[in-house]
Amino acid sequence: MVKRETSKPVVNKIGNVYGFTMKKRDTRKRKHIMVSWLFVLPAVLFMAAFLLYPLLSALRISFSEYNFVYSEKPIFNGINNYIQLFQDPHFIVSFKNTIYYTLVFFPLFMFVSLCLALLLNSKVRGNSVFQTAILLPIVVPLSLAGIMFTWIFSQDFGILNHLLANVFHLPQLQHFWLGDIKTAMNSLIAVGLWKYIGFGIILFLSGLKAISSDIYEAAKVDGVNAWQKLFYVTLPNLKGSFLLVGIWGIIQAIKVYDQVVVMTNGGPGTATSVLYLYAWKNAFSFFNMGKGEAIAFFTAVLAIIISVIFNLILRPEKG
Amino acid sequence: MRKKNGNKYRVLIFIIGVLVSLVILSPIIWIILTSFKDVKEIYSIPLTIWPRKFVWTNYLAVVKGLPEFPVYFFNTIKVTIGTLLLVLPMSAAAGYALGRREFPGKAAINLFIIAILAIPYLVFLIPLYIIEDVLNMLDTNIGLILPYTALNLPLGIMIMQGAYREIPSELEDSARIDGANAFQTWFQIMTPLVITGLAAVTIFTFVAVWEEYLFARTFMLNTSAQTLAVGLPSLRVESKSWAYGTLSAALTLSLLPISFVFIVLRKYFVEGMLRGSVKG
Repeated sequence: MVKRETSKPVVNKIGNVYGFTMKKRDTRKRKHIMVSWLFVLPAVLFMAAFLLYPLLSALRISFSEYNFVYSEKPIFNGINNYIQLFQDPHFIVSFKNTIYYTLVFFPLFMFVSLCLALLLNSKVRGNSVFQTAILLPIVVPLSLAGIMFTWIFSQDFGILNHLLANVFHLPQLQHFWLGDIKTAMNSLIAVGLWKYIGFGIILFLSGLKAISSDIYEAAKVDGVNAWQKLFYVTLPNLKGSFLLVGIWGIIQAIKVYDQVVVMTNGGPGTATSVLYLYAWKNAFSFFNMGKGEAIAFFTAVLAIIISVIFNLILRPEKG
Repeated sequence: MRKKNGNKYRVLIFIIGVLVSLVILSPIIWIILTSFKDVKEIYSIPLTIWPRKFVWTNYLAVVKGLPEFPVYFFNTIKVTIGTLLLVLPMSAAAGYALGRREFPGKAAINLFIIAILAIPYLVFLIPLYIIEDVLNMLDTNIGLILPYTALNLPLGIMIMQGAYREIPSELEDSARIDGANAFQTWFQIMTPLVITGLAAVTIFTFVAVWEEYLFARTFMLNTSAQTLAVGLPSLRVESKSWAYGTLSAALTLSLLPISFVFIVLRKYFVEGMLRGSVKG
């Protein structure tokens, strides 16, 4: 009862301030909605034209026979493109290569960035300089990093072979890195790691900073040693960061493309053919848009399924 | 005793920090050092790491003998600025409405944005190519600006939405009571308070556009419209005379503006990374 008495004058007061009565409320509400939509309209229209429409159109193309050069229009052919994928050995190889890339890239990415973040997580002089240095590869376009590393890995004038032979005195390790089926993919993974490791470190560092010092104090009182502290206090509290870095890393691995085109273009043979590259070749070298789009959706579904599984495993408990 | 140990630990961490930074920067350092070497020195065996003599000839070769370089460079700048000019106001406006106002359709827009962030760019590539082919936008700057704007909007809106939501509501209320309309409230009262959010969107969009390869490679077939990320690799493929000396100078020059912007706005990059939970 008291509540009602106090709330009534407030309503009146606001009514006076705005100068509207109960009747005008509906028009006011309508105006509020209209103004809100005016704010979002440019972005919504833009996304509808350049994202939503292409998405629907992409879905239709993936279920169609559509050669960009010869066909007038996409002709619906059901799930034919998808069936063809699994009968195409080149696709299977590209799929396997992408999985290989992910399986090597992902654990290294997580492990190295976590270790470096743990090391850098202290108030040391020059920390912000280190962070800038470690993050700098992020601004190097992956395609330009591809040129740099093609040269670094090159057989004769590559600095890597030079260092191995003349500085570390290990000439037996000299290698034609990109020309050998055994090392080509791993060389591409190294470029990906170089480019992205800074992301992982920074995300883990912010996660580490967010852990409250009270928890560490409590652990100290309980007398835990450094390893126990790491495994029972720090890592369990980093679940959120693991989720963030993990999903991000997996998606980067599945969509590997830029450095592959620049450094090997899928070769030698099909040793470094990956899903993105094979989709691109189907669409823009063979003009088979339907098949290219089917590979694109396959890649998208793969990325989403792995993210969801990862999410389910690591979802932070509520509350 | 204890303090001494702490100091030792700090020195150790400092040394590790220096080593890790050096290892990560080493490819860039190698390119920069090479760009100052004489061409003969670049191809001499054994290789040298520190230039025997610093020379500018490679930079002169880029400026004088490589007419494509300024074309790529200014295309990249134009496309980056054009994209920013579209992304910033649209994500600020939409972020404000989604972060501060209630209206029907809001949940649907947010759901769409999250769904888009989960879909790899590759899916949009083919239909956008067909659209641009029909509209004659292939090989034009606008043909990159429009798709880049669309692809960077979802993250921009997410970041701005979070930034606006953090402002205490008293400010907005008092602005309204003072008689400001919705547009004034947004532009004059609220937006000056989300400058860090705008900085995060700027650096994210900047980096994304500067390094984008998949779309630029597909849509820009003509040298006159290509960006640095596509142009430099294609030059390397085209001519065998494309030497490492010129190449390293061109690479160094093309990394300068983006590195500068990144070092200035690095703080906001990290902030935006956490806010938008990141999309590549």
